[in-house]
Amino acid sequence: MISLGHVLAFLAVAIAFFGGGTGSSIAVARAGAAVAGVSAEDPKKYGKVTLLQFLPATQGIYGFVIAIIILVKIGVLGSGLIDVSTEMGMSLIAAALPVSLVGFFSAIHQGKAAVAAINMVGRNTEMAGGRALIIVAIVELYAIFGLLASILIIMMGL
Amino acid sequence: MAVVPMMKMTFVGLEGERDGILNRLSAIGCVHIDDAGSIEYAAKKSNVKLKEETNAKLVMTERSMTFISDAVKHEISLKKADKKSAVKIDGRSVPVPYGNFVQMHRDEYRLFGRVIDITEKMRDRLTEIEAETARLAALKKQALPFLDVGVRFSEVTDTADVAMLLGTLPNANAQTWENLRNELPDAVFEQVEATNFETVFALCVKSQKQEMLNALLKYGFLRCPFSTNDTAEGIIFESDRKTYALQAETEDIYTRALAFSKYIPELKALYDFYSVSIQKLDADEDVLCTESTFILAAWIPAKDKKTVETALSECASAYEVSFREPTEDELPPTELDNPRFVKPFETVTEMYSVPNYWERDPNVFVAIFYFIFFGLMLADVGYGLILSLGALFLIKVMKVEGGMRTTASLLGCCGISCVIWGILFRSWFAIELSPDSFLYKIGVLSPLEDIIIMLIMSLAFGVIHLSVGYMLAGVAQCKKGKVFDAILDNFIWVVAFIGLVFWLVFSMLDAISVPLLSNIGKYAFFGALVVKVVTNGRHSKSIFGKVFGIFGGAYGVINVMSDIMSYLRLFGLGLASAVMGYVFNLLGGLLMGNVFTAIFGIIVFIIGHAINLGINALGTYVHNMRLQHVEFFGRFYTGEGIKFKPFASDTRFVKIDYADKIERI
Repeated sequence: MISLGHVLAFLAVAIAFFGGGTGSSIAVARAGAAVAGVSAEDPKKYGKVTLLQFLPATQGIYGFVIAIIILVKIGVLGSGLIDVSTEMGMSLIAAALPVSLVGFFSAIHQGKAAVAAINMVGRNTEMAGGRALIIVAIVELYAIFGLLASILIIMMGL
Repeated sequence: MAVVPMMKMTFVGLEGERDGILNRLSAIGCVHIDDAGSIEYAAKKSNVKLKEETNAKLVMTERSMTFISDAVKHEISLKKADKKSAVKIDGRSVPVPYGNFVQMHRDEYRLFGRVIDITEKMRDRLTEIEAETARLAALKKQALPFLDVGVRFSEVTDTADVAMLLGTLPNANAQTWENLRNELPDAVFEQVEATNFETVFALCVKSQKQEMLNALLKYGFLRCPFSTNDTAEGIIFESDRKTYALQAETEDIYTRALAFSKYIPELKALYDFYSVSIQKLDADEDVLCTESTFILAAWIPAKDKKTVETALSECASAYEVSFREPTEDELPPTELDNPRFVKPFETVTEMYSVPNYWERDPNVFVAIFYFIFFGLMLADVGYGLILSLGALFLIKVMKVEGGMRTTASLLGCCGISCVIWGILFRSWFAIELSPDSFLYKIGVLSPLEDIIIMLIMSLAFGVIHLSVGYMLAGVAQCKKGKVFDAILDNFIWVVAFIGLVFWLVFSMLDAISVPLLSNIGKYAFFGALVVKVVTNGRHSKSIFGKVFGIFGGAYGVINVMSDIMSYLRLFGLGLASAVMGYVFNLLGGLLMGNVFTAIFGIIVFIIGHAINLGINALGTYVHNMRLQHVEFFGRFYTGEGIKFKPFASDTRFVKIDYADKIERI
C-alpha cells in the first residue's frame, strides 16, 4: 500500500535527480558549443578541450547517486518497500535539496568556467592540460559538499 | 635534495672560435646562457636574418613531413598501404647521438635534394591539380545544358539572312516559352529537348535580331559561352578525360610520396637540428663581442665546473675564464636535485612556480603531503592498483614522454598511497566487507560509519600541514637573522596548534583524559593566539597603525581557521568516492540475480567504477594541488624562479644522446 510518506520519498528522488541532471545538461551543452567553436578553427585542439566539456557532467551523477540512496533507504531497491512515515518522507525531501540545488547552480557556473577554459586553450595551447582543468574542477568542490550534505542527512539523520 | 648551487661563468674567447665553443658548450648540456650585459666597445650581434633563413628551412621540413604523413594516411584509407605504415609526426621517438646531431648540416643538401624539394614540388603540383580539376568541373557544368544541341558550337553563327542565338534561360518554365512566342511570333524559339526548358535555340530574320535578344534577356538569357569547333558532348568528354587523368596523377603522386616515409626519422632529426640552431642563434645574441673577441656570461651548476673547464680548454686556444658565486642581487636559474621518490612531485610545485634560487626547495614536503592527501581522498585498493598499473603501462610499454610521463609517474606514485589508505579504510572497489573477513580485520576504520573520526582526521592533517608551512617560513626568517620575527609571525602558530591538539586530545577522549595536559594545551592555544593578535602591529610606528595591526591580526586568525576548515575537502572527496562506488556496486548487484542480467550487472559495475575513478581521480589531483598551492605555499613559498635550461637543448622529436659526445666538434 502506498502512503503519503512514499509519495514524498518518490518526490525526493525526483528532486534529487532533477537539479543536477538539468544543471549538468545545460552546462555540458554550453561547453560543447565552445568545444565545437574551438575545434572548427583548429581541429587539432579537439583532443585538448574535449575533456573540459565533461567536467560539469558530474553534478548529474551526484544527483543520480542520491536518488539511488533514497530508493535503497525506502527499500525500493533491495529488501522491499518499507513503511515510510510522512515525517520521514519530508526529511528525505530535505535531504534531496542540497545535492539538487547546489548541483543545479554549480553545474551551470562550472559550465561557464568550462567555456572560459575551452576558449583559453583555443587561444593559447600552452594553457592546455593541468591548469585548464584546475580552473574548471575547483568549482566541483561545492557540488561535492552538496552531495555530502545530502548523504549525511540520509545516513546519519534518518 | 635541494636547489643545485650555481656559479656565474664569464668567458672571453677569440671571435674566430666562437661557433666551435658555443657548439661545445651546448654539447656538455649544463650551460645556461645569461645576458652578458653591456660593456663599452663591445656590441651584441643580431642574427635576425640567419634566424629567418633557418626558420624557413624548418618550416619546409615540417611541411614535408606533414605531406608525407598525409600521403600515407591517404594510401591507408584506400587500403593501398598497411595500417602499420602510418607515420606519426609527434612524440619523441628518435634517439640521436650528439655527434651525429651537430653534423646534420652535412645531411641538409641530401635531404633537401632527395626529399624536401621533391615533396615541395609534389605539394605544389597537387595544388595545381586541385585548381585545374575545379576549372574542368566548372567547364563541364557550363557545357551540360547544350548536350542535346548536337551541333558544333562554331556552326551556330548567323547566315546571310538568319540570325541564330544559342544559350540558356536559367529559370524558365513552360509559361516563359509561351510568353516569348507571343511576344515575337516571327522568331523561332526552339526547345532543344522536350523536358528541358532551360536551353534555348532561337532563330529569326537578321533585321529582328536585336528585338529577339531583348526579349530573351528579359527572361534572364545567358548566351552560350562556347564558340569552338566542338560539340558539347566533345567538351564534356574531354573535361572528364582530363579529370580522370588528373585523378590518376594525384594517386600517382601519393603513391610515390609513400616511398619517402622511410626518411621521416631523418627529417625529424633535421627539424630539431634547425630548431636547436635557432636556439643557438638566440643564445648567441646574448653574447657581447668586440672586433676579435667575444664575452659570454652563463650560469653553470657548481658541480659541473670541472666539465666546463675541460671542455673549454679543449676547444679554445686562447681565452680567459672566471667563475664566481652568485651575489644576493642576482637571480640564478634553479635546478632541482631530488631523490627519485620526490621527482614526480616537482610538477606540483612547478605548476605554481619554479622555486626561487635563494629559497628552500619545498618539494620534499610537497611530495610527502601530496602523497598522503591523495590516498586519503581516493582511498581504495582497487582504484590505487588501476592508477599505478596504468601509469606503469604508460611509462614502460607505451614509453610516453614529456608532460604525459610526468603526470603518469605522479599518479602512479599516488596510486600506492590509495592502496595503503584503501587497506586501512577497508575499501576494495568499495565492496562491503563482512566484519569477520580478513580484509576487514586488517583495516582500521570504515569511512561511511566512522564519519566523525574521518572529519577530525582531515582537520588534524590540515593542522599538521599548516604547521610545517609555518615552520618552514620561520626557519627561512631565522636564516636571515630575524629570529624574533620568526617566533612572533610563524612559530607562535605552531605553539597554538600543538596546544589545540593537546587540549582536544586530552579532554575529548575518555581513555586518555588528563585534565592537566588538557588545560596546558588550552592556555597555550589561547595564549598564543592573543600574543599573535597583540603583536601583529609591532612594525608600525604610529599608535593608530599598531591598533589597526591588532584588527589585522584578529582577521588573520580567522583566516587561518578557515584555512584549516578547507582541509575538510580531504574528508569530502574521500567520502564522495566511497559513496559513489557503493551505489554502483549496489546497482550492479541488483542485476546479479540470474546469468543473463548478470552480464549487464558486470557492465554497470565496470562503467560505474570507471566513471567514479575518472571523476574522483581528477578531483583529487586538483584539490590536492589546491591545498599545496593555497594553504601550504601561502605560508612560506615565493617561487618565481627561473628554470635552469641548458641552452640549445629543447627538441621536439629527437632525444639527443649526450653520452655519445665525439671528441672534437
